[in-house]
Amino acid sequence: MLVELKENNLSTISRPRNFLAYPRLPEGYSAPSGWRAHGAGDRFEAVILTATMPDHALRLILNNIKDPLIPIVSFARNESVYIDATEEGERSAWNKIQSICERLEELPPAIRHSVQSEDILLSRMYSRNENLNPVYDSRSQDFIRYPVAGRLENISETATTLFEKGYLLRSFFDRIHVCPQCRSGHLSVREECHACMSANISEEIVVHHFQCAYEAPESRFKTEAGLECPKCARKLRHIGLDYDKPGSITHCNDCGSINDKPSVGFKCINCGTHSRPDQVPARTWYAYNMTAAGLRRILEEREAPAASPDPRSDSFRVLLDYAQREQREFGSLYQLVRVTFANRPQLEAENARLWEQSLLLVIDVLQSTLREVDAFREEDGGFLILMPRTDAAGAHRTMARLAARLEAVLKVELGFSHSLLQASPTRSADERAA
Amino acid sequence: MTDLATPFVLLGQLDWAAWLTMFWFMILLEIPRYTFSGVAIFAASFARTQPPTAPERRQLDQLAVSVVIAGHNEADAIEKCLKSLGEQTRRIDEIIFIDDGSTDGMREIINSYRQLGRIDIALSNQVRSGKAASCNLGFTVAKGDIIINLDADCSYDRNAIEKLIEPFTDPGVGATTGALGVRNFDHSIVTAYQAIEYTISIGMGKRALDMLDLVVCASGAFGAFRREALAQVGLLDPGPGEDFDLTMRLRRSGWKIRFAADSWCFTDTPATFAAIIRQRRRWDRDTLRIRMRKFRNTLNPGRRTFSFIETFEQLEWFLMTTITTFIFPIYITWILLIFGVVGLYILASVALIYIIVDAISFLMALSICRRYDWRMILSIAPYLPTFGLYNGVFMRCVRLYAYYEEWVHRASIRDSYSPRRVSYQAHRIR
Repeated sequence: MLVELKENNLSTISRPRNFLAYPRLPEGYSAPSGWRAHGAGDRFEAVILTATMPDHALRLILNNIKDPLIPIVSFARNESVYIDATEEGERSAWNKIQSICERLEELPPAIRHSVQSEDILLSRMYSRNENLNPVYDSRSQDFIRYPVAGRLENISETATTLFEKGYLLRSFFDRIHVCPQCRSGHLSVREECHACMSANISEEIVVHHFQCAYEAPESRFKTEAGLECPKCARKLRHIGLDYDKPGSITHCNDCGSINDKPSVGFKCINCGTHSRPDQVPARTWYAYNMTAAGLRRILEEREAPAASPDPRSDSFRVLLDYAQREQREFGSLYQLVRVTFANRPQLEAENARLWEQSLLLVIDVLQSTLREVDAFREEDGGFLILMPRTDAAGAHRTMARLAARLEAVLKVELGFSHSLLQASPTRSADERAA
Repeated sequence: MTDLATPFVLLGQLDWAAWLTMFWFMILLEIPRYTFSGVAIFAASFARTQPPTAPERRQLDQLAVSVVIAGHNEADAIEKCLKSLGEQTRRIDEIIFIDDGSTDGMREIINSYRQLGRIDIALSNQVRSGKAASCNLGFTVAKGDIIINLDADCSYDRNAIEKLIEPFTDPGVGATTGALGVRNFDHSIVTAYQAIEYTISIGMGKRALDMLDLVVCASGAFGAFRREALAQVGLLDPGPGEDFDLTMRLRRSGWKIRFAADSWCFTDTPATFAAIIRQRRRWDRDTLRIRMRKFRNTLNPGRRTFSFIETFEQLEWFLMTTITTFIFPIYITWILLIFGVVGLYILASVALIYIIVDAISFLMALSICRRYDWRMILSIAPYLPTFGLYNGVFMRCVRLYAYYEEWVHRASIRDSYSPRRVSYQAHRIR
C-alpha cells in the first residue's frame, strides 16, 4: 500500500530518510517516497509502530533509541503517552512524521542533540508545533500530563525554569491536591467518621416526638407497624402534628460513634496514606506557550535576553540595578538582606496548607514593615530584601522589627533569621538577584 | 428622728397578743420557715463533711461521665464553657453539644471544636426543637453512667464535676444538683439583689432542703443524673420547667435527689427589672403548672404510690409559698384598713425586722458557703437593707401575677421557651 504525502511535504524532501518499523511492516507495504525502512546500522529519524504494544516494551525500544525528539507514530491502536500520533490513519501519521522531522531539521545541531531538559522541552514544543498544554490523565501519578513533552521527566520544574527565564508564558490550568506522602494526585476525597476515619458511615434522620419531647435517631422509633415512640409508646402518625424531623446524625458502622456531620478526609490511591484536609497541599498546574525569546533560544542557539514575565521579580531586578548605579555614582549605600526560615522544611512537611497560609501572612507583614521604596522577592525558601539608601545598622533595626511583628502575627514558629549580603561586591549581589 | 424612732417605741409598748395580732403574717408564715431552718443549717455546718472513703473514691473513678450541653444561639458562650470544663479535676469521658436550631453559627462552631477534639459529639437540630428535646437527643446518645446536664452560658469551679458526682456513691441517689453563684453580681442593682438571693437560698435554703431530703429541682443548668434513673422515668418531658418536672418524677420513682453544696457553677443572671420579671414569671408559672396540675395527686393520701415525704414537701410549698403569696396583699390591705396610719408604722416595723433577719441570714449563708470573696461581699452588701423590699414585696408581686397568668390563662404552655409548633402539640393546645 502506497501512502501519498501532501504535495508540499513531498517537495521539501531532499534526501531519503530512514524509519524504524516495529515489529515489522505488513507484507508488500510501500513507504511514501523519500522514506525507507532502515537497515542494520543505519540511523533512523522516525519510529512507526505497526502493532499494539505494551508500555514497558515501548519504553525498552525508546531507551535504546535515546533520542528524545524522534517522532513516534502508530498505525495500530496504542495508548502509550509517548506516541505523537495514533489511530489517525496512515496518511495522517506520515504527515505528522514529515512535519516533525522538517522542524527538527531547522534546529541547530547543538540544540537538536542537547541533553539539557530545557532544550529538549523547547525543541519538542517547536518540532511538534504545539504549546505545552496539560491534560488530565488517570494513568499519570500527578493526574496531569503534558502530551507534547513525551518521556521527559520533571516537566513542571523545567517549564517553571523556562518561564522564569522568559522563554515560556504560562496561564493557570488547575490546582490539584496531592498526597503529602508520595505527591500523587490520585486522592480519594471521602466522607468519613471523625473518630476512626472509616468511610463506613451512614446518615440517619432524627425524629422528635412533640408530646413527650423524646428525640432520637429514627431507627429507635421504627417498628413493624411504623413509627412508635420508645418513651411513651404512642404511635407517630402525622408529621408536623405528632412529630417532626429536625435534623440528622452520622453514624459510624465501624466504631459506632455519632456526630452531626461526617468529616472529610483524603485517601491516597497510590500509597494508601490518609490525610486530613489541612494536611493536603495543592499543586498548581499551568499551560505554557513559547515566547519569541524561547523561539530565538532554540533556533539561534543563544541565550536571548528575555523580558521576565514575573513583574515582581522584574521590578526587583530593575530596582537592584538602580541601587547599584546609585551607589557607584553617588556612593549611597543600599542593603541586600537574605531572610531565611529554619523551620520551613519541618512546617511544610507537617502541614503544607498551614505553611502556605503562613507564607501569605509573612508577605503581608513584609509589606507593612518595609518602606515603600524597599523591595523583596522569594528566594531559596526565604526572601531577598532590597533596602536602598540604608546602612547596615538601619537594615538590622528593620529586621528586628520584622522579626517582632512576625512573632506577634504568626502562630507558628518560623525560625526567622537574616543576614546582610555584602553590598560592595556588586557583581555577586547582582548574580544572586539574577 | 422622732419619726424614725416611732416603730421601735410602738413595738416596745406591745404585749404578745398584740404582736401576734399585728405580725401574724410574719410570725406564722415567714419566721418559722427561714429562721429555724437557718439556725439548724448553721449548726449543722460546723460538722465536718466526710470526704469519700478510698473504696468510694474507686467507685467514683470507675463511673463514666458524659456532659450534655444543649443551646440555642449560644455561639459566644461556648469557648468560656469549654475552657471551664477543660480545667476540671474529674475526668470527663464525653462532651456532647447539641445546637438547637441556632442562627448565630453555633452549629459550625461546635463542629470546629469537635474537629479540634475539644468536643466528642456535636449534634444539630436544623429546626429548633426546644431545650427538652435537644437534651433528650444528647441523653440518648450519651454513653456515660452519669449524665451531667449543663448550660453553655455557665462556668464551673475546677472541682465542680468532682464534687457534683460524689453523692452517687449512694446507689439510691438518682440525681444531684450543685450550687449556683451569680457571675455578674456587680452589673446592676438587679444582679446585686439576685446575688444576695442566691447566696441565702443556696447557702441556707438548699442545704436545709437537702438535710430534709426535700430537694426538688436538679437544675438543667447544673444537674447530674444516674443513667438508670433517667431511663426509668423516660428522660425529659416537654418544657418549660422540664428539669423540675424530671426531678419530681425521679422523686416519685423513689430516687434520692442530693444537693452537692461544694460544687459551684456560676452564671450571668438577668440584669434588668424587665428581664428578671420575665424570668421569674416563667419559673413561677412552670412551678404552679407542674405542682398543681401535673402532680396534684401528690396531695391525695389515697393514691397508690403515696409517700409521706412527697406530700409533706408539696404541702410545705403550698402553704409557705402559694398561700403566703396570696395572703400577702390581703395582709397589707388588712393592716392599712384596720390600723390606718398606724398600719404604716406596723409595716415599717415589719420591714425593720426583715432587714435584721436578712442581714443575719446573709452573714450565716456567707459563713456556711465560704465561697465568696470580699470584693463580691462588699459590692452587694449595700443592697442588703433594701433586699427585703425586693424579695418580700417585689418578687411576691411578680409571683402573684405569674400565678394569676397560669391559673387563669395557662400561660406557661404558651411560653416562647419552646417553639410554638412544639408547645401546641406537646400540650395539645387547640
